[in-house]
Amino acid sequence: MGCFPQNKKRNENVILIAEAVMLVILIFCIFSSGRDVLCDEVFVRDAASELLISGKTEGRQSLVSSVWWAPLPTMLVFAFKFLPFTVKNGVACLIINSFWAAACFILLEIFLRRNRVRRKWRFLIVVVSAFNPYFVSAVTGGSFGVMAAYGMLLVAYSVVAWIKSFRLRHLIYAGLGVACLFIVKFEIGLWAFLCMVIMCASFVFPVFRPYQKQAAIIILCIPFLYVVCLWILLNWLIMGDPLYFINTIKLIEDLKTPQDSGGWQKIILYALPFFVLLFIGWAKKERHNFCLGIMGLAGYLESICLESYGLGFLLPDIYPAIVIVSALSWGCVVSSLQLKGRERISGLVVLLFTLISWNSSHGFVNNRIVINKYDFLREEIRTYVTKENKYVKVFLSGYKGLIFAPPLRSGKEFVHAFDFDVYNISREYPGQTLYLLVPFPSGIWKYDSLYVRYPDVYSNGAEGMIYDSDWGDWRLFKIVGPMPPFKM
Amino acid sequence: MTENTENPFLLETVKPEWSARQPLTMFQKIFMTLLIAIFLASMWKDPWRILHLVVIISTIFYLAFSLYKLLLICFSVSKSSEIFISQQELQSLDESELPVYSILIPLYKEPESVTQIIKSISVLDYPPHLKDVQLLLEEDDIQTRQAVDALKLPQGFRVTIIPRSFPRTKPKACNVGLAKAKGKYLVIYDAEDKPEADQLKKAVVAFMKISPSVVCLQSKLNFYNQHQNLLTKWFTAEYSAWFDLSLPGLSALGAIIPLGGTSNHFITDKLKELLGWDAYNVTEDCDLGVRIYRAGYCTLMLDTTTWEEACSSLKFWIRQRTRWLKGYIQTYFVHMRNPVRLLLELGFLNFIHFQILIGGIIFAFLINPFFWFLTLIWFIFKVELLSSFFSGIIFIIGTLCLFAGNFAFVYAGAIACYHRGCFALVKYAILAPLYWVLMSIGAWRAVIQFFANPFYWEKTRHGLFPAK
Repeated sequence: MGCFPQNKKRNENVILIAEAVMLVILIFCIFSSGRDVLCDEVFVRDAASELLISGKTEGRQSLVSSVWWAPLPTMLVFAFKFLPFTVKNGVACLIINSFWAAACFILLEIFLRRNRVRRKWRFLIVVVSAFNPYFVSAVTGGSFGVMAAYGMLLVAYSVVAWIKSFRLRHLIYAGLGVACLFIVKFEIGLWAFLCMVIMCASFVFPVFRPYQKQAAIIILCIPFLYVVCLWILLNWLIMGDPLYFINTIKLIEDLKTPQDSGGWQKIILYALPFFVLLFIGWAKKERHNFCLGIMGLAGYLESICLESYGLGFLLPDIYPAIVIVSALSWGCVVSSLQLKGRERISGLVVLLFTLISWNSSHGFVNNRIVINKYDFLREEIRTYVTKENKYVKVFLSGYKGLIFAPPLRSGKEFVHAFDFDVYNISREYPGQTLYLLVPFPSGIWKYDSLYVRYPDVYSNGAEGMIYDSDWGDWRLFKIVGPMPPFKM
Repeated sequence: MTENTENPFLLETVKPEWSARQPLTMFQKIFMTLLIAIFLASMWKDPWRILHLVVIISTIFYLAFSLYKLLLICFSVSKSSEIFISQQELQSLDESELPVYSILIPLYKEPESVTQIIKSISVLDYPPHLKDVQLLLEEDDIQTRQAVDALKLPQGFRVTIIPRSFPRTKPKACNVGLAKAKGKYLVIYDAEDKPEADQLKKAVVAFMKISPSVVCLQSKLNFYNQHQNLLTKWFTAEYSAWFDLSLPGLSALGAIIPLGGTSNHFITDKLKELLGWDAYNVTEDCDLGVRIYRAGYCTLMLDTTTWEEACSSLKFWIRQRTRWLKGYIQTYFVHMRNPVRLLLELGFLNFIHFQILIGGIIFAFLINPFFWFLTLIWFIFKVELLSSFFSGIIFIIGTLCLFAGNFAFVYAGAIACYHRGCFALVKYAILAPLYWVLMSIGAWRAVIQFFANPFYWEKTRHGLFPAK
């Protein structure tokens, strides 16, 4: 190891980075300890990973069966669940997200340093980003939007760096970043995919050798294609239908409702540096700055599209990514100004970013944080259904069922089914009293696979089940047996 | 020791415990027999539990191996993992201060390569009077000797005849050459090699500017006939991944470097101190790479390339791979004769590197076919019994290795091709899993040969690519 003096220096950096990561994890864990409110995603990921640990088929189904619940976060939580102190709800998610938050700030710092932003401005931009309310709420709430923000930052910077220098490592980072984002947060994966398309547009520049374009496209696209194929394969193996995970996408047009507004207007000020970069890029013919501006605005474009399709509930997960890419862009603006020696204007730019970030905390409402309030309701339902017959099964279809009745902790009466079918269930549990508990279809929950097979189940029930009772925003149906496949 | 220096079996004479002449010691034989006996007895008693255990061990191994490879690739991205010599440094070199450089070229039944190798060495940018080139010819290899005799050798070239004796291996010939070497530095080239013209000067500059503990510089190897057929394309992708990603990664980590068979530049005195190569080891380069570290020295990667001819015939490719892997097995057992001593000499980290690099590679190639078979069976027939072997965390690790680990290896191959500038080969690197099957065939042949014919040198046939 001592053969190269530069290795020693690098090792020191690694230690410093590791220390910084540990410190930030500690701070976030302290900050979040004792909180009784967590993002709904935390409960879903926790419950899915518990099902995986128990080796049940439902665990594997929860891993791959929905595009809205991409598999990588569940895998990470699953890995952490083997540590004894992470058994408690949400701890694994908090640790993972704190780690990604720390990694995000380090990455931002590295990228700003590579863009030759002065130390004081770098420090301020990173600190302001770290205390941005969207970011803090995502970390402390346990949302994997933080991990996605890290991926998006990596992709955005890689695209910019590639356009600048056409170096292999940026191609690799961009390719891997897009693939990972796709299996962390599908919706941000789409944004990253758009960035990849921008990257492909760079192949028009006449700087490539024979076959280099082809090779670059392969290296860029292979990870993304691979994860898509893998997801399809796993759906074929586990769900029996290779495209099962995207079945619910066809519900988007039917379920469009204005109540699912994500309020992208709240973060419109973060788009300011993107416009500035577009202008700088156009005026100074700096294609990397121009591209960063385009990429940032593409995030807004996607937000507007999602909202117009009634998918506004996805936006809070995109906000941390937009904030962090915006921070990078502010840094690039500062870097451009520094080149002209405009130190005061650089300071004003950083001040502006600080003010925008501070302003975000006013009227900031994080409507995605929920209290796990179902323990009492669950016991009430259990008492109700076991009153007459103790051989009872209450089926919970979809991911909200994981929140309502965490597996392995809710008793044998509650059964999770990710591909609920009345006919199959009746055959599998003969002689038992069967129920189906359906949540009110709102937000992300209305895209559970149950609604593909039974679109109006909440309001009208379905063949083979009759309405039983209402429990808050849940509705209980009694399964009376399906109609025979061939009516005489 | 000096009176024995012309003895090609010096290592075996002075340090028999470091030589592969005895493939397995008595203790190793007893230990292995016991291990196999316990395994078979357990299989007889409770086969499912034992198979389950094997699956668990193999899965954990796969995970460690995949992570290790990824770590190497990450480290290799850093420039400090290789020694870069700039053109300015080369130009500022005072030719009057250059030392004599010994070049060993072992040739055996390769009359067709003689002209080419002489030409390749002649064009090396180094004063001819300072080149000490030895063509190492076997006593009974009449054809090659005639081919050499028919040529007028340039200045600095000479022929060294290797007396007929057993085993007939390249390291034995090299040991004879080493004893007669006059240079301060020494390098080995194969008959089909085409080193970059400034390689010797780069090595001299590198030796002058690095730590005295570095006794060997490994040049990168690659192929000039990479487009000849699918096999050479895969071979190039593999070599690029090994020499351009893995070895620089090892170098950056300060880990042991299993030397490539050619273009290793040594400090001659230090090499003599290490007693040269093991004449009984069929991958003497890999063995020497480990011994360098055991003796407290180290090896670094030099940013220069030697172009070789990739074996384009499947038959010869498998023979070559068999020899390499057999040599890895020999090396593993030689150095594991006393694991505690190895641990103390290498240090903990290098001990782990040794286990993964030498033992791990063989183990991976040997067990791969079983897991491919199990995967195939599971995919096609969905046999539930197989699921019971992969329960809980093992299922997830296994899935991770299957999907992420294998992808990482394939992707690394593609990256290596791009890194090397072989852009047209990137798409072929994606098909590498088919190539791995061939490697496993080689590994199993190696195991059989290790017990049946440990010193047999399966000669790779070159000259199948028409020289331009």
